Order: sequence, then C-alpha cells, then structure tokens
Amino acid sequence: MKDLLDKIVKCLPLIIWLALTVLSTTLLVQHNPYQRSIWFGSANALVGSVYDLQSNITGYFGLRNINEDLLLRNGQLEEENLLLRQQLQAYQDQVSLEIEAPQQQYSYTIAHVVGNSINLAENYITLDKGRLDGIRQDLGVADQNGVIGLVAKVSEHYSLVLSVLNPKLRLSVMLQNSSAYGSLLWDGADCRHAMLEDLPRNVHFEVGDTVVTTGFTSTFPKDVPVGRVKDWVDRGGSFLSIRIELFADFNRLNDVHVIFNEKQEERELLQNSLD
Amino acid sequence: MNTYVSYFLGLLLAVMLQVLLFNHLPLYGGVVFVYVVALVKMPLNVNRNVQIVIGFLIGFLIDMFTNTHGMHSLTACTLMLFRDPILHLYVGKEISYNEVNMSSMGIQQFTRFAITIFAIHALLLYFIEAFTLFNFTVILFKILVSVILTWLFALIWDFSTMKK
Repeated sequence: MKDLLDKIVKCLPLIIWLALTVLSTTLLVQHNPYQRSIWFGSANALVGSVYDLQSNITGYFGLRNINEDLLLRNGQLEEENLLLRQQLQAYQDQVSLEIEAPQQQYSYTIAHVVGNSINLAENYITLDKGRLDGIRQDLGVADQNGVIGLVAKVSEHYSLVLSVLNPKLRLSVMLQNSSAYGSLLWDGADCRHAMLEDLPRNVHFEVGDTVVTTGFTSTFPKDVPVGRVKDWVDRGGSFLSIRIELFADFNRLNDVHVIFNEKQEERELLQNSLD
Repeated sequence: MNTYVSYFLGLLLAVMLQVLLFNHLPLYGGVVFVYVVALVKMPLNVNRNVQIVIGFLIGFLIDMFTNTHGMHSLTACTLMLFRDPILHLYVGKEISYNEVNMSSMGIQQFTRFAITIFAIHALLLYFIEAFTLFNFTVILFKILVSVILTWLFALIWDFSTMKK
C-alpha cells in the first residue's frame, strides 16, 4: 500500500500535467469561437479594463499620423459632398421637382481600440463599446482608411472584433473598376497584405486598382475601401489570387467606427427564410 | 518567504510586460517571451506540482489577454514539466543553489539550458498555433527569431540584476 502511494506521489507532476493538458486542449479545440466564454477572453471586464488603461496612455502615440489621415479623408469627403450637392442641384433644376431624400440605412458609432494583435495566426481586436452601447454580433467595423473586421462577440462594455488579419474572416469584396467580385482572405503572411481569392480569370485589372466591399452581405455598405492591388498569383484553374495592400494600418489602430445597418435584420430574415 | 513574494510579483510584472508591450513589438514575426524567462527562473525548491500549476495559470492569464484560449496554458505547463529534468541534464542532479540565473550557473551552462527550454517552448507554441494555418518555413523562422530574442532578453535581465 505504501509502495503504491509512493509511486503515485512520484508520478504526481505527470498526472497534474496531463490533467492541465487535457483542460487546455479542450479550450483550444472548441471549434465554434462564439461558444467560447467571454470570461476567458479580452472582452472580460478585468482584462478589458487593463487594456483600457493601456490605451489611455498609448492612445496619444501616432496621433499626428492619424490626424493627417483624418484630414485627408475629410477633404475627400467634403469634395465628394460638394460634387454630389452640385449634381443634385443640377438634376433638380432639370426636372424641376423636389426629390425626396432616401431613408438613411447605415449609421456609425465611434469606438476606441483597447486591444489589438497583428502577429498571431488569428488576430482579434477589442473595442471599448459593448452590448450596452448597442453593439451586436456581425456588425462591420472600419476606420478612416478602410475595412477593419467584423464584430464576433460582445459583452456588456466591450466587444471582440474578428480582424481582417484572421483567416476565419471572409469578406465579399470587388474591384472598383470592373465590379468583379471575390472573397478577401488573410494568408497569415504579414499585417499589410491580404489575398483576394476566387476572382474569375477573365477579369481585367491593373496593379494599383482599388478594392472595395460589395454590399452583398448586410454588414458593410457598398464601396467601403479595403485596399489596392499589389500583385497576383496564378495557381492554375479558373480563378486568380490577387495580393491586396490593405488601406487600414493595423499597426496603429486607434479609433474605429462600427457600422449599423438599420435593415440588417429584415435582410437576414429574408435571406434565411429560404433555408 | 520574501523571495517567493518578490518572485511572484516579478512574474506578474513579466505577464503585464508581455501583453502590454512585447506582444506589440514583433520582429520578423518573432516575439520576446518575457513570461517564459520569468517562469524558467522559478526558485528551484518550489514543489514540481506547484511549478506546473503556476505555469498553467500564468499561461492562462496570457491567453485571456491575447484571446488564444488554451494555447499558452498548454505550452507553459508543459514548459514547467520539462524545466527541472532539462536543468538536471545540464548541471547534474545535485544543485547547490536555488536561483536559475547566469551568475549562479555560469554563462555557458545558462545559455545551453536557456536555448533548449526556449526552443521547446517556441516549437510547441508555434506548432499548436499552426494547427489552423500551415506555413512551415515561416513558422521555423519565427521560432528561430523568438528563441534568439528571448535568450538575449534573459541575458539582459541577468546582467541588470546581477549583484556586484
């Protein structure tokens, strides 16, 4: 009896290790990320508040660059606004008729990035807004430069965003000039590039062409910028893979906007009603 | 008791440094694993069962911050399982000191031990990560860079805390 007890005590480290390995492996291989408890991730209140503290300090770094980006974007939008106003005015004059403004479909809310990774195989971003701010699953997230990702999980005060730099995210995107579409996928190589897959071979494009979202899914409106064509890979078959240089700089994300689609529910209900 | 408390506080500091600073400073895809350096330096007279459990808990804490569910907990507890045997492999069963550092082990032995244990850790970590994404040469390169960076960090740590 004493012998047996001695043996068990001797093997105890191995037994403990085995138990902990089983525990962490179960955590690791749970397939559906949505089922993973918020408690174990950065959307948990304690971890979130540590990240909050950090972003309060580091949020000021790189503000000059971000400011420049914003001014540039602001200028572009103002120009566009002016142009559209002029066009609208011209049309109104032509048909001499009051045109009813279309109902606004998309609205935005600003959130701060409090946690972000770029060097893992699967990257997530933590935002400081959650369920109480109206954030819910599957909302699109973008910043002033372009698409950032998709809300994967929300807690009361925080939300977890599936970054473009995560192979689990597939976005429907298209070439702005030709309207040919494919899906955007990250190949895990580096944080500045992603791949545009499943693009038909006969599509004409050039290096530097802009890639935007399609609006096929209810998460992003049409024409949100994603990146520009860098080069392409020919893997045979009837599809091409294009390497996209992303507009969003994942190295220094600071403020992003979460995109609400007022008609998302209606659209999803319709699309799901066929199944 | 005092050494344990200061070690524990150092461990927590290492975790914070890891998630708040070093995870955001990847060099060619490799990362300095500060918390691994801290774990490896756990006093030698700590019970091995406790060592493994602490390794798991620290890994779990890192996982919470990086959303890598189970990845770091698995590697860290495995790391602590291997630490003592590997140390004995290089310096023999009889160890007169209690701290794992350069001044007590000598730079040569410390380097051998550190490179081995960091390599085990990085191999495990990156291959577990690669379950979902496979790119062999890139991963090997990341492992190499991480091991060298972590080793350099361990040297700097020891030089800066060495008693004259």
